[in-house]
Amino acid sequence: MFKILLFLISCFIYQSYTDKTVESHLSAVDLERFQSIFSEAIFSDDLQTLYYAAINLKDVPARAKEHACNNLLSFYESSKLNEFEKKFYAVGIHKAVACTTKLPDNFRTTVSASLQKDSSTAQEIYFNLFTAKTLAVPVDKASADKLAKNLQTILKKDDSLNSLGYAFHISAELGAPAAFVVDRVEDAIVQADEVDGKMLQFEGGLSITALIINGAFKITKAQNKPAPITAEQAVKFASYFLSRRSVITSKGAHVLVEAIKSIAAEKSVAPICIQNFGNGQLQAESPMINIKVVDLLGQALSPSPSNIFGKVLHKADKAVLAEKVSFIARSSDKTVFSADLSTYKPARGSYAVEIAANSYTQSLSFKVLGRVKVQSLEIAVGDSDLSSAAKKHTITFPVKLAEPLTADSTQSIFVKVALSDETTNKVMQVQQAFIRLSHKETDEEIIFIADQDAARAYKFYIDIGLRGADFRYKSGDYSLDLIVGDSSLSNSFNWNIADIHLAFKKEKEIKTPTPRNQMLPEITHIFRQPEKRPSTFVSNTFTLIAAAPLLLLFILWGKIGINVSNFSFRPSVLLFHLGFGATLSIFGLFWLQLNMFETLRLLIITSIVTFLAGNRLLTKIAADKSKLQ
Amino acid sequence: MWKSFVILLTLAVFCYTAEPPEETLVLLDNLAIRETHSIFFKSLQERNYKLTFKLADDPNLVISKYGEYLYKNLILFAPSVEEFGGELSANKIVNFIDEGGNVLVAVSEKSGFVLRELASECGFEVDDENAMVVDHLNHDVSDTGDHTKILTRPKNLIDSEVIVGPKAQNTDPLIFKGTGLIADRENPLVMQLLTAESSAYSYSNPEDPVTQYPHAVGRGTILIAALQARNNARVVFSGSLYFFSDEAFISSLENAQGGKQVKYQKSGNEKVATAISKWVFGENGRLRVKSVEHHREGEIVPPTAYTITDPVVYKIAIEIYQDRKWIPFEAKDIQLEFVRIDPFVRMRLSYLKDGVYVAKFKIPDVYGVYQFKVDYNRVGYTHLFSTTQVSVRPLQHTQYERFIASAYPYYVSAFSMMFGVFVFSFVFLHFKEDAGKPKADEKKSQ
Repeated sequence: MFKILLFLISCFIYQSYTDKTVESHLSAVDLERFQSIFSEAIFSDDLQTLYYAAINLKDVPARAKEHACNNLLSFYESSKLNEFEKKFYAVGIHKAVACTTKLPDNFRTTVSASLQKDSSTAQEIYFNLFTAKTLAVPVDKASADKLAKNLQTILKKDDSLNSLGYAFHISAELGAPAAFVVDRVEDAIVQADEVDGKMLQFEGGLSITALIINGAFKITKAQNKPAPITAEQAVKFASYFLSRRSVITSKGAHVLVEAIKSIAAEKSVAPICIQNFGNGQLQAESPMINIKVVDLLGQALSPSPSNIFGKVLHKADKAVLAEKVSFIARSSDKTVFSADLSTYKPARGSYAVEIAANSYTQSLSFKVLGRVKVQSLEIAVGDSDLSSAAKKHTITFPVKLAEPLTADSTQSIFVKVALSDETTNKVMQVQQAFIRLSHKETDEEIIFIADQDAARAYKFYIDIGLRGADFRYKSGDYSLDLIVGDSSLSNSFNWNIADIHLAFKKEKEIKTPTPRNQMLPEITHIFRQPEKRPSTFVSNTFTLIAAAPLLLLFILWGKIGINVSNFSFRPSVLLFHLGFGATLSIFGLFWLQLNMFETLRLLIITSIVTFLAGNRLLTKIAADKSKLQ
Repeated sequence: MWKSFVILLTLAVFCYTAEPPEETLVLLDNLAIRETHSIFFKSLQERNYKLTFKLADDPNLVISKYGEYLYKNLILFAPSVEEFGGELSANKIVNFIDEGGNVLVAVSEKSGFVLRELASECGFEVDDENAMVVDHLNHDVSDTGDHTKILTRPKNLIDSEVIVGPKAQNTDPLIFKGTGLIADRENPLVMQLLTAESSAYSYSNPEDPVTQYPHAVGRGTILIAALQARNNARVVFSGSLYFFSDEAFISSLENAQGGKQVKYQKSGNEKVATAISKWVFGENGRLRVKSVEHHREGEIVPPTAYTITDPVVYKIAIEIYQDRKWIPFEAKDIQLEFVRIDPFVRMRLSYLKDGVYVAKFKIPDVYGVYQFKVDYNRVGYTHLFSTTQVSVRPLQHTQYERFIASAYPYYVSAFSMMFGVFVFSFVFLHFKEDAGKPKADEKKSQ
């Protein structure tokens, strides 16, 4: 129970410490950036963009003036905005850049006419009213009453945020006749959405939020009412606007600056900005906290806050280092206040400071940085089974070991590092103590983290054989680095201790497979080689031998004497021999060029002829023989 | 006549320029992100993307209607979303990627479950909750004390100009604040677009001493990872939403621990983020095959079938999508394979002109059904794959070599036999014994 109470109280305290302050403000850099946006936008051909650039740009260059004035009417014609908006912007630009060209005469008449007739939206009234104001068209009491009445009916139908926002501006302008609108301020403000519990905005973003906030401040001021928002809401709205400092449109920049100005102007609720000056990291030798206390626009507060005190706590255990440190304004810069912590001798670490400046409070955190010193470093390469004593090398920071080491897969690397604080010489613990081994050719890196022993020294034990897979068993020269880092150190370092040659078992090396996304090795098809042939002499000889039987036939025939006396020129005889010859020739052709089907087709013809003729021939011969006998 | 031609031409040009904007859905944690990241969004809008901003937990989220996706691209700048609104879920997004949609995701040290799920579906892993990338040696001066606003040199960008832009342009360091990603190195579809420096690590509590081996350490700490799925859909995961913010784009950098204090006017984030967005939404690195032709050398049309050892000419025209139009693509490392289950021939295609590549080779002396295959898969480019099937037949019997010297004995014996039969049959049929007998008797008597 007590604990819960304590928790609640601490929550409350925490809440109160962020009261009425924001973490940032509109800086000169932002304003400068806005000016550069405006100086770019002044050459735009969009009426709205041009208008906001024209009314904000400090000095309009002559060229831009020419651009705006000469083309104003054509921009006006081509603009797709509502008639009343177009007119408002055109008139506004004309006035802001002080054009010498004249606006069309009917502008004044149409504007005063439109003030007389009923409008359908608050936006329309707003633009008409302010166009009239820019053109110095007088709005008499009667028309003011009429506009107020018109506004009242509009608000009955449409009380959207947009409509209300414009209504606030109109009411502030019209004064008494439209005083009723002030009652709607609260309705509008409660509709704001909270973002992350830190910011408040209206649905629709920057322009609508700015419209309502500007309007609300204007109307309450006009009627001497208290500020429309509480201090707490002001912090959240201000945080929202400040988070939008990166706007890039001229309209966005304009409304943002206006809104922040409106909030800042209302001193009763306006938050101030208390922030670290610098990066909030203090050197141990000169622990000087610098804070910046300014209003939302980055201006020094007036009157300058006199009593700024801070309570410094350790972040880790909430132990109080200093109860009430006084911040003193710097003589050179009215916005920066400093407190010297050297009497408290803050140790290295993270701190929080709770600052109270009059009624404003803010909690900031800062760090006191230390410097690390390498007390000693030993490196040794020895057998993993500890069979023989390893030779130790002692190296001093930041020297690199002269001779390269070598280690194979049966050995291990031992590294022992003792780190200490440079000023106090006490043993130091750091966030990062890594050993990095990187292959000298491929630049592959393998990182090991340290173990701490009882004496808080960092030890690395790398068994080459066991950790081989991490190295992909890739032998070669590696460089060995020690990386020591901590967020509260100002001299984190990367120290190249030594070079080391590692030898792994070659067969184990994991070859990285050729990635899919590279050129693959070329493949050329190897054609089958033709078989070796005998020499022409041998084949010629055998050709002769093969031809020999035919020769022999003729020689023997010549010897025994032959005749063809029985030959007669009968058709069957001629046809048979021609057919037979043709059949044989077709075989020859088949060998040379014909395919089987063509050959068969031809053979059918010749064989039928040969068959019939042969039959006739043989019959005849047989008949002749029998006649002889 | 020519007037109508001119009208047609202008119409064509008009149609070309009036290309419909690419529908892109942007899901945000809160609408403030739309303004804090306005430079990035503006550059997209200027490049013809129609951005629809929605809250990630908007109860009316719909990405598809009647089976068709309403958006081509999806940007998830909602690191902390625990569950999407409406019908959207990690599974729906995976389906969207499967259908070819591109996704750009930025997470942070406080990533919601749904984004972790999506990441693991894409082959990445987001480091544990609250884990941030810390680098005690490379952080910006604007860092507030925990060394998480880290700097990394452009050297740690992936070696692919298609994805991250030309090397000559990327000279300024990049600023990053967020969590580390872990990816399987062996996954061929995952690419590590940006890694941290060697001294960095991603640890679940940046303020504590490192006692457990960090999930990501050194250059193995992936800051931005990408996936190009097999259907060429692209997904980019950034460990930091801050990387794309206006603040990161325009801030000047200075390494707080640099020793030699070099100040950079502007971070390289804008250039890299723009290049990455061009890549992820398919403005860069898209290839397509325009035409393929092949024929025997000296001919024009492809034959019904090639014969073994035919000299063949293969031509392929390849185009790349650049500046919103298809232009000829020129590269030196495109290869052609002639494949029958295994490749028989693999050779480099030489560039002719206008995106046409040519290869000439002799068809192998093994017959079968082959494919001309161009399989071009390079980091950053879409997977270009083209196959053309052809059959290769053996020699016809008349196409063999005819007059072989060593075969003459066979020819001669065959033809002499045929001739012998012909002559013998003639003699045998018409031989007259009587005419010869007296002569034989005479001889005998002699």
